[in-house]
Amino acid sequence: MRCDIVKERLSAYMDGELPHSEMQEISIHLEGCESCAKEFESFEELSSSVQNYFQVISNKVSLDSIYDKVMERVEKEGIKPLFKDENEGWFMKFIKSLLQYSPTFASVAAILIIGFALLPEQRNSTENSSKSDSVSVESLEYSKFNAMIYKTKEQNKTVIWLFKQENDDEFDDSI
Amino acid sequence: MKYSDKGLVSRIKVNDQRAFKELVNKYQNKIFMIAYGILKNEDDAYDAVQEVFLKVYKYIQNFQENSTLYTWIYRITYNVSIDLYRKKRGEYSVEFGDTSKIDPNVDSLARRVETPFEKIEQKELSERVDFALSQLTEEHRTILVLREFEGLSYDEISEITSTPKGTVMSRLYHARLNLKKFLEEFV
Repeated sequence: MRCDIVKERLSAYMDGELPHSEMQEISIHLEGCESCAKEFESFEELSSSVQNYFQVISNKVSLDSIYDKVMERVEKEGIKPLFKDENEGWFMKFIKSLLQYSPTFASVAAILIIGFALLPEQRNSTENSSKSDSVSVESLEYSKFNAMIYKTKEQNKTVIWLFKQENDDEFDDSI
Repeated sequence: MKYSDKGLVSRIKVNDQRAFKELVNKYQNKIFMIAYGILKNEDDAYDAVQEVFLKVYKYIQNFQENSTLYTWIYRITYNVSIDLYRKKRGEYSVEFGDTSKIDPNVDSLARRVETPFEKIEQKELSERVDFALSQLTEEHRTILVLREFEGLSYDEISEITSTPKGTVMSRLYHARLNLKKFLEEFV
């Protein structure tokens, strides 16, 4: 193989992207040609410098706020929410934030909410007892707690279960 | 904990918001570096990262998994960055043409990555690579960052940039030759 052809292919040779036969030919040529071997060495040095440059910059760049910025823009630009809980009402948001920051306080709040929800239902229990009712069920998951919320529209009843997660096996799809 | 791309996609498709957050954490630096490699401007690369994730958010439900997640994301990154580059071509040409003050953002980035323990040679080399990259065309910078930073194969680069594999090979060769030339000029 001629030197000019070898030099043109040194870049692809370095990346191991040539067919096996060409890789072999160039390897043999480099053993016997000082000029091409020197050229190849300079390609390797160049590649190493560029890799190092990119790596150093990458290690120092901090993009911690990107997720929040993206979610802000999703809301601001009226993009259809991908996740159910972005579309929830004030009640779910309230319970969710309580769960996130204080599960204990959330438990107390949940008991109070159930209490208030049941009082009017008890007063009207006679007249409501014959009516059929629709039930909605929602669930929330957090790192340590799960919450299950049952709401009945006509009887205005809300029941909330809070329970602690024992394990987190759903993340077993890691590399 | 690290998650597989397939697992992340499956979970996002069943509306698991934590999986989307994991995806952002996993890819944000890589996307930034590709965008930065193409744009050579820190602020614009940051905007590009947001734009890429917004597109991922919008279209991931339609992602058919015919390609890998990372080639899909990098293709979006490439398209977003090239669009942004073309919109701002005028601004960039002024910066790239001025060799005494190539790009204030790049310069500040180069200073920021320096530590007191690094040798002078390392700093000089970084500045030289910075200069040389800023002199290349966006096509050559793109191919270099995809190959040298991400270590992608020619087939993957071909898929991301919608360019034939032969063109990728030739473009990378010329990108390296030009980079070498500009590195030698910067003394």
